[in-house]
Amino acid sequence: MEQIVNPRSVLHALAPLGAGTAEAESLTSYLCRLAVSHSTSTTQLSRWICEHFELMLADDFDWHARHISGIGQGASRWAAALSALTAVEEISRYTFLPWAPVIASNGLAIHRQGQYCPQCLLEDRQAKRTPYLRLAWEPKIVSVCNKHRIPLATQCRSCGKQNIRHAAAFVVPGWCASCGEFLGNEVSVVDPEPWPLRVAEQVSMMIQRQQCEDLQLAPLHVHESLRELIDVIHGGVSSAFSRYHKIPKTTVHHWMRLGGLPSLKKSLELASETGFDCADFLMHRSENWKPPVMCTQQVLELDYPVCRRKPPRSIEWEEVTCELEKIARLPTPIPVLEAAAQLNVEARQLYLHCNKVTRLIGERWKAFSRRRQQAFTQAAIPHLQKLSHEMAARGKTLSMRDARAHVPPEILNKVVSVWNVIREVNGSKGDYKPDPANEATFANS
Amino acid sequence: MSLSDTSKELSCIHASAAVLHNSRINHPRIQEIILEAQALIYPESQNTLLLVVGPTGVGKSKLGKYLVEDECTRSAEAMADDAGIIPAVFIEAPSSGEKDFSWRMFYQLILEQLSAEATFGSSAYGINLETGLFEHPRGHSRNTLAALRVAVERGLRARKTKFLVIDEAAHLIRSCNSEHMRVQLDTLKSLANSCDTQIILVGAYDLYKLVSLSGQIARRTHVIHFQRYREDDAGDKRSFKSCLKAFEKKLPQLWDGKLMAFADDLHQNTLGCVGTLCDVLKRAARLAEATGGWSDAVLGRALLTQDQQKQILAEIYEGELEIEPSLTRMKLSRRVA
Repeated sequence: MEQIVNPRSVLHALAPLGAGTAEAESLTSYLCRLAVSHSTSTTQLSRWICEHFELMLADDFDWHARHISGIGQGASRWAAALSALTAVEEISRYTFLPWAPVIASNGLAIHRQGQYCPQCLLEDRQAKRTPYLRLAWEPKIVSVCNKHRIPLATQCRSCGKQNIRHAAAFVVPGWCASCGEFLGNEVSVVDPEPWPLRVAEQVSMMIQRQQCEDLQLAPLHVHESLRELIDVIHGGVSSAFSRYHKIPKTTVHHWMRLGGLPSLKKSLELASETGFDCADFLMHRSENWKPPVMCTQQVLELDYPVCRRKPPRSIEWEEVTCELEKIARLPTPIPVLEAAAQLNVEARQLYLHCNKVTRLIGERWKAFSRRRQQAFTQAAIPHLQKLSHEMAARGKTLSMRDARAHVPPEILNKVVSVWNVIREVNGSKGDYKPDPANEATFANS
Repeated sequence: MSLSDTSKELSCIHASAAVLHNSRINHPRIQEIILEAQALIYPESQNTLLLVVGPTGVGKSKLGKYLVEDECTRSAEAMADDAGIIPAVFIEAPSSGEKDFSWRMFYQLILEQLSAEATFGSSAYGINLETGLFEHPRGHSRNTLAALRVAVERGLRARKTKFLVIDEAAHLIRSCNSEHMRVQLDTLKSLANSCDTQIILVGAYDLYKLVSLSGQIARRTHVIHFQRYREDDAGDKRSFKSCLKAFEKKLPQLWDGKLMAFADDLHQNTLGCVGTLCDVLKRAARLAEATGGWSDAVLGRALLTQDQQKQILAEIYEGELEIEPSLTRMKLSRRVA
């Protein structure tokens, strides 16, 4: 049988670095190294690749804006193109594409300017390895190096510029594309926050998993994981799951019923809150998962007597009517509310069951209230009139302040709408007849 | 009608002169040279440069191509695993018509062999080993000589090329004085050193001048003399005749067993060079096909003219005279106990 000859690759078949480990190279770094190997610019190489596959290019085409290490269509196209040209198999393992079926399409943001760990690059150079950019540095949510526990850098320590990692025509991974200084340097270890460290650790584990296994994922996996969380922890109640993890119910509905997928950030949070490794969560591998013990409120035995509900009252409305009639004949009328309070019945019930008598009591009270008010007003008018004359003699008009200052409060406070009365007094300027009883009061004030 | 009956009805199609076109005879002299060359090609060899010199028409170009093909065959397993490997490359040193050798064309020829479809331009940039800084390319020009050189170095390393055969290597040193020749050779040496790729220069006897340029070059160079089959050597005569027989077997219908009768004449006319013999026989075969049959006259017309023979022989004598004494090595003396 004729031996099938492996055709020579069009471009150099560079072996991706860090294969099989959590420190696998990103496709971005691979493309840069490929350009260096061919002694051409990344721009030239990227355009040539696009023209080779007869892809239409915009005038302002920038390959590094395509986020070729992510999970989108750009990553898929570029991985396929580079695999075809370099004959390197499974080059998609140097992107996050293996996780694309279980992460929302816009759920993995790639750091636009690129970040790096100076310590990792320094170690590469010291060990006489080719410095390269790790895939674990690509996601925006990763802000810490998992290996060295230091924050990832985005700017050059020499020239201070941002966007110097790979966004240039000529790039050598590990060197500043602007000033040419090596980006690796010794960084003192700091204690990062627990959550960024957790994120970095989980993303590294995902990369390790995709390097060592053929994942073959489907949206079903993450849906089953979510279903298991809801069933085991929250008793099958989606609303409880939604409330506990602070996820809108519509979002949970979208995931469970409409086939939606959580973002990587949300998956990391869910996994962290439920004791899953994110990779296991996304792959639905729950063999080693131990559901967290949910804290339930302890029931305290208090010494209070049990509050028994009172039996419903049965009211004899005939008796109530008789009582109301007695109240209606009282010399001093009382309001319906007071009558209801005396009879221990609600006022609205009196209107419902003893309407006539109740309305009679109400009318008596209104009339009494009106008369009383008129009396109070009549009692205050002489005072106000005298004061008004005195103010007029000084060339002024009586004001509320003056009234409050000169009229006894026990008289003035009983008057409703004092200002209207003052206006009438000011307007009328009727004859004033001094009351000897009030003269002393005015002389003293 | 069965298939066997059909086959009897059809007449045999005889091999034509085209058979000789790409034919290769594995004669004893070339076997020796191949063995020697293959033994000297190994990683980290001190012999950065191998010179294969010999008379014109002896088969040096065929040897170079064979070495490359054989290396590809031997590296088949590695090539099946890694599609990026190109273990050996064969190029012909260009003669651009200019006074000086065109290194630009030379590098471009190598790049075509390494990545034929990769037609993007080359730029010289990388890390300066002294300063450790990243050096951008200067200006916007692409495909400068430096850029092509860098591209070739990186290409040879990426493709893990073990050796590079440069045919017609005499073009490198044409119209060069000693100083210039040294520069040319130093360029090749540095290319070989930087890529860990041996370079096999194949050419005529004037290539031998390179060995005597300096002690450094002499130490790093090994000369392989691809000799002709001499008429004054009985062993060579037998070997030449066996070559002729092999050619005869390729077109038995044409030669009709009459070729061997002219063995001595052919040996004399072709000066013992198998390549020249092949050319003569190709011409004779084509003339025979054109004229409708083989005859002595046809062979006579295919032979080299006297002037041609004289010129080639003069160059051969000059070359052999220069090279033979230089290749004499110290005789080892054995102590008798």
